[in-house]
Amino acid sequence: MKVNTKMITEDEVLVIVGPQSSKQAVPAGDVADNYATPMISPWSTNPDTTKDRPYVFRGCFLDPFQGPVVANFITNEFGYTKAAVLYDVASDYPKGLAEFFKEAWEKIHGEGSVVAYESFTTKDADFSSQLTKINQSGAEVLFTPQYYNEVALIVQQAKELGWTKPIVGSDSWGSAETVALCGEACYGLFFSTHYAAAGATGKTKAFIDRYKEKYDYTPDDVAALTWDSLGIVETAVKKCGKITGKIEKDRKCVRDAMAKIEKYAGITGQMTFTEEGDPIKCAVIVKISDKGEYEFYKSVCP
Amino acid sequence: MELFFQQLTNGLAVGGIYALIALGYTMVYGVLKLINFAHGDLFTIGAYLGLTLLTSMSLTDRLGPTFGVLMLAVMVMMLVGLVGILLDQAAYKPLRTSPRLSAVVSALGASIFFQNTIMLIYGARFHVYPQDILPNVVINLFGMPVPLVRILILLTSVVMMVALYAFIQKTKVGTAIRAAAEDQGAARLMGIDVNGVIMIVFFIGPALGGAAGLMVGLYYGQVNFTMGWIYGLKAFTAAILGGIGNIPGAMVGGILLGVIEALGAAYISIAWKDAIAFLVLILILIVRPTGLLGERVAEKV
Repeated sequence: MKVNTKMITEDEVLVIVGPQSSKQAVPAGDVADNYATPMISPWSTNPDTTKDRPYVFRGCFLDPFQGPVVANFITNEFGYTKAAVLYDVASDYPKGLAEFFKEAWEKIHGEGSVVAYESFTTKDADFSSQLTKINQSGAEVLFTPQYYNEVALIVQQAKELGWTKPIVGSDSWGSAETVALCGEACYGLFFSTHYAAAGATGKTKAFIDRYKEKYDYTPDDVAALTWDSLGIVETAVKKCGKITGKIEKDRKCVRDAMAKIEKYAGITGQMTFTEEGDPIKCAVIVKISDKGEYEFYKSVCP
Repeated sequence: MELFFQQLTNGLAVGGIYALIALGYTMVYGVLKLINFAHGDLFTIGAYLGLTLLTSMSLTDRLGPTFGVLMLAVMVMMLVGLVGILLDQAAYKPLRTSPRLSAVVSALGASIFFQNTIMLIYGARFHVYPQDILPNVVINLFGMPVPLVRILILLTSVVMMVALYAFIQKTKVGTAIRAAAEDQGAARLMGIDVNGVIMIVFFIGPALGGAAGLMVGLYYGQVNFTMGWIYGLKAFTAAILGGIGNIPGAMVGGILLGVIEALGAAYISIAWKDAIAFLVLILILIVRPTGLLGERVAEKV
């Protein structure tokens, strides 16, 4: 926060990119907004970062957004109409996502189309009761927005109890540990996330190659989102045209230009900002390949 | 009805594991009137030792799956049993004449010690058991798919419990254990080596807990240094439910708890699974304060 204040009042920066995590981005956003300085946090997913702060933007989608994304993906990809959800009722992220998925799914397929909505509590390791119920509910697909170790347990036990239909997850699956723990049981499954390095094409691939050359490792979500945030700022500044040197006026101009950006084609997908400064963008659906790699499958829009 | 039986088999397998761990609590309590809070961690040690032995000695490759796993189980039980004896010697024996609260605090300390030791040796990440060791066969039982492993888990626990019960009831050592549980002073006067009995108890209880840890590792496939906490808590509940200090009580309590959880989850609500289990515990304790099969009045508690 101090750094942010100093940058704004003493260094007179035009625009701020960062900070990454919500813990810093929420208070930093407050400062930026108070001083009417545009700021964009590439990776902060907490709604408070941009809420009621016209000068603050973000580069990634919010957690609840993945619910409709996955619901759309399953509907269009497989044509299923009956879904089951299994989630940890004692953890904020899965619980929120489960609720948003249910809402989105029932909006498409009507009331009661989520035929099994089962939960457990953190640290449970046996999901046989829940999975038995899900098996008998006639669901065609299972959505489980859980963390890696639970994903492995759920997928393995589901297969064992005779579940042969798809299991779909969210960006919490996107850890290398998921496949390490789950093994072959998880091959061929899908989850939604921000971006996928393997199987990327076009602009995204060019970015990955350049990044790899320079830093010698594959860029992760944060790197890609930061790259896009910088791109957005660049576009806004260009749009503003001449920088007058009057910092207040320029900041206002950049902010307005950012808010007006439409369909910015980033490497993590196309973005348009809402009034809150959150991007409407597409998520990436990743398929776990037969080698256990996370492959880009397709991009899905809300 | 089909759902009922399916959930019943789900609950029985989990219940078998609870029962095996509960035996460790109940045996130690029976003889020493001590709740061994480190017992859940002995279970974790069993799971980790199983993993290490399995990967380092490749027993199943050399001896085939059935005999290999059997051999592995024997080794894990021996080792965890030895850890149990060491635990008693280091943490409980010096406090034998101290107030009982001191031993309970020592037990909590031992639990933290074990957890952190495992974390330092193996790291905080989840570890994975090699897959495909147990046959991934699903048996069709009256039209229901039941994984063979679940049946094996239940059978193994039942066999171990029956063997233990026979040992306690029929053998001389078993009689000595029962005598020491009844009245340590009188047992000593009758020429029973009470310290020896305690050592045996601290071998058998942890050995069974270690076997349970191995089964959980083999079946669920992943182990973590905190895994013993929740299993320990559930098994402790099961021991109380059946009447702590009573060996058949621990078996009944464990299996009952597993079944209550599964059926409660199926017919009431999964989110209330734990609440239902503990509600049943409270109700039983109101009606029978000593637990389902507990006979002795808990005069010292």
